Order: sequence, then structure tokens, then C-alpha cells
Amino acid sequence: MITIDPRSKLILIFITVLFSMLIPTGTFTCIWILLITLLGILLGRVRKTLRAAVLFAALWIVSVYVLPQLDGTAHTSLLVWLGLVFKCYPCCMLAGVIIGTTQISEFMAAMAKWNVPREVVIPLAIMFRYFPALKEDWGHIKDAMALRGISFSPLYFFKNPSVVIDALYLPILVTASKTADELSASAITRGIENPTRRTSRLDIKFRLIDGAVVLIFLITIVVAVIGTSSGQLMEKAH
Amino acid sequence: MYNDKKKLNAKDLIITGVFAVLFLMAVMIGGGPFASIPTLTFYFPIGAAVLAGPIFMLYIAKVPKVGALAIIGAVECILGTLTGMHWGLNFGILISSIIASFIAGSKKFENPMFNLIAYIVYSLGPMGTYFVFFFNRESWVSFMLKKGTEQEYIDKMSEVATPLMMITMIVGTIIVATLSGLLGLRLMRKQFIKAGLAA
Repeated sequence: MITIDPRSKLILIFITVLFSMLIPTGTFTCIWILLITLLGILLGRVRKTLRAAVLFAALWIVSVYVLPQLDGTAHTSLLVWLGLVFKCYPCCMLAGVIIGTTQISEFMAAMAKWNVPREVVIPLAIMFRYFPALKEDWGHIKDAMALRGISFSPLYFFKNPSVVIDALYLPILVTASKTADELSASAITRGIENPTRRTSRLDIKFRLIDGAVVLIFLITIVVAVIGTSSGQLMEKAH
Repeated sequence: MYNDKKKLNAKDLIITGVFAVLFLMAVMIGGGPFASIPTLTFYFPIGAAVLAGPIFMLYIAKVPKVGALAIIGAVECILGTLTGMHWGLNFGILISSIIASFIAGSKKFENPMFNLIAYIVYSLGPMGTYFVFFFNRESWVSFMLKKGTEQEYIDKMSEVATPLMMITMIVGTIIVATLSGLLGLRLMRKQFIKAGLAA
């Protein structure tokens, strides 16, 4: 088990975004997913990371073995869809690992060290905090409305849209705005409005392990860039 | 306590965070299915405008300050950049949300008509990427190819991209945004104000 600085996690995200921008989908995507899987396991998020990796492997197998069998429209749309998924998968998987393993206070402390303005940090921190809460609220509302026989399926929606709006859409908005009020009450009580520089009991600094992890990712992306560009040169030479 | 009427305080920022999640969910549920299918990708702004109207109205009623919408735009811009969206989309959203905040802010966020117009302007934001596509197709294609979007996706997109499609997209988005915004205003009147959510 290791812990790394939230700032190095952000650097990893940037490297991964660069990776998806520069490197076409191929062997290197698999290697990158492997790296992220290892990182996730080392950070102590074993089960969900493994699940995501297995899902990726399944999609990859589909793209390698099933896709060539198809032709026509099915082939094109599946190819395009898979292409999009493979493009986004590394970023999303890494983001999942990072959000799952970073405490909000850690994140805020690290951002304070980088002097990021409060106007950006607070909404971002709240977003990470609120995504799971929204999912939970949504589950509760759906359960409650299922008792009344109201579902969110498109068919039901086209039959009586006003009921769906009143019974499912409104409660989400109302709970969200109530949650916002409660969150801000609790945050203000804990002194988020203090205008002086934020201090933290957490010891946030770059360590050897941060350097090692970032270096591994950097080396991989450099190798990938060199590998793909030399591959393209080879193709041109032929 | 900081009761400055113009500046954003911590409470506003937290409400902004929560509503940014709602905006994102609305775009993902409404527009996501369109974005991944190449022949339908031009309808993405329309889909994205379907759900967000009531969220928009409630948000500007809760935080009636000019900077608030701009921060929503900035947060979406950052997240879009991190997930590798086209820069036209990100900055389109940022610019349109800033314009929208000034339109609604000119009447102190109280005039329903101006709020509606602001929402329409906000909904036009995601089109930034398609404007780039129409006016400078070469650079758009090379940018997306460099990013690794499949050639076939772009071919499919070019096939259906005609000036007519552009007009459909803009008009469709304006119509859908108007309907969604009107729904939002109606919900404001009927529910939120009565429930005491928005003063």
C-alpha cells in the first residue's frame, strides 16, 4: 500500500490526457490500462480497479475477435463506439481511482499549496463529494416512486410526461438544493470562509514514491510516442 | 460573516459545486446518446438543452450574482479539457455562460424574459465545436485525427454535415432551450418559490 500526493495524482491525469491526445488506440492503450490497474491496486482500491480492468479486457477482446466478423452498419457503429470508449477509458479509469482514493481535505490542502483560487477549488471539491451522494439520492427517489408505479423508462415518460417531471425530476432538484444548503452550513461552521491562508494537519509534500510513480508514467508515454512515431515512419517507408 | 452582495461567498461556491454536478448529469443524460453516434452528433446541443432548463432557473434564483454562471462555465471547461473534449466545446461553454450571466444579470436575475434568453444563450455554448467544424473544416479534422478520433467517425460526420443541418441544429436548440426554459420558469412559479427553495 502506498499513498501519493494529490498533486502528483493531478499530474498523472494530465499525462493521461496527453496520452489520449497523442497516442492512437493500440497496444500502448493496454499497457497504460495495466499501469493504471497497478496504481489503483497499490493505492488500496483493489476490487473496483480490477472490475474496471476486466471490463476493459472484455471490450478489447470484443474489438479484436468479434469486430472483424461483422460488416456494414453494425460494424461501423460498433467500431466508432468502441473507438470512443477506448479513447476515454484510460482517463475515466484513472479519474475513478483518484477520486476513490483522495480525501476531500487532502485535495483542498494540496490545492491551497498550489495557490489555486478558492472560487475554483470549492466547487470542484464539492463536485467530487456530491457525485456519490446524488447517486444515492437518485436510488432513494426511484425506489419511492416505484412503489407508486412511476418509472423513469422512456415508454412511461412519453405516456405521461408531467407525472415524471413532478415525481422524479423535481425531487432531485429539491434534494440537491437542500443538500447544497446543508453542505454549506456545515462547511461554514468549520470555517471555510476564513480569509487567511488555509492550514492543514495533513503532511502534504512530494516524496520519493511520487517521483517514482510520475517517472514511470512519463517513461511509458515517451516510449509510446517514440514507438508510434517510428511505427508511422516504417509505414511511410513501405 | 461576509454579506457582500456582489462577491461570491463560500455558500454560493458550494451551491455552485452541487449545481455543476446537476448540469453535467443533465448534459450526459440528454446529450450523451447523441454524441457517440456520428450521424446524430449534430443534435448533441439539442439533447443537452432538454433537461437543464429548470436547473438553470433554480440556480440563478439561488445565486443571483454575475460571477456564478461564469464559474459553472469555468468548471465545465476544466472538466471537458481533462476528459479530452474539443477546445471549441469547452470555450464555447465558457464564453456563452459568461454572456448568459451578463444578460440575466442586467435585470438582476429577476426578469423571466431575460432569464429565458440567458438560458438559450447558455444552451448555444456546446455548438462552439461545430462552428469550428463548419468554418474551418480542415483544421478541425486534423485536430480530431491527431487526438485519435476514428477516421470513420469523421467521414460519417462530414456526410451529414450540410448547411441545412447547421440551421436545423441552431433552430432546434433554440426551440428546445425555450421549451425547457419555460418549463423551468413554470416550475419556479409553481413549486420552488412556494416550497421556499428560492426567495
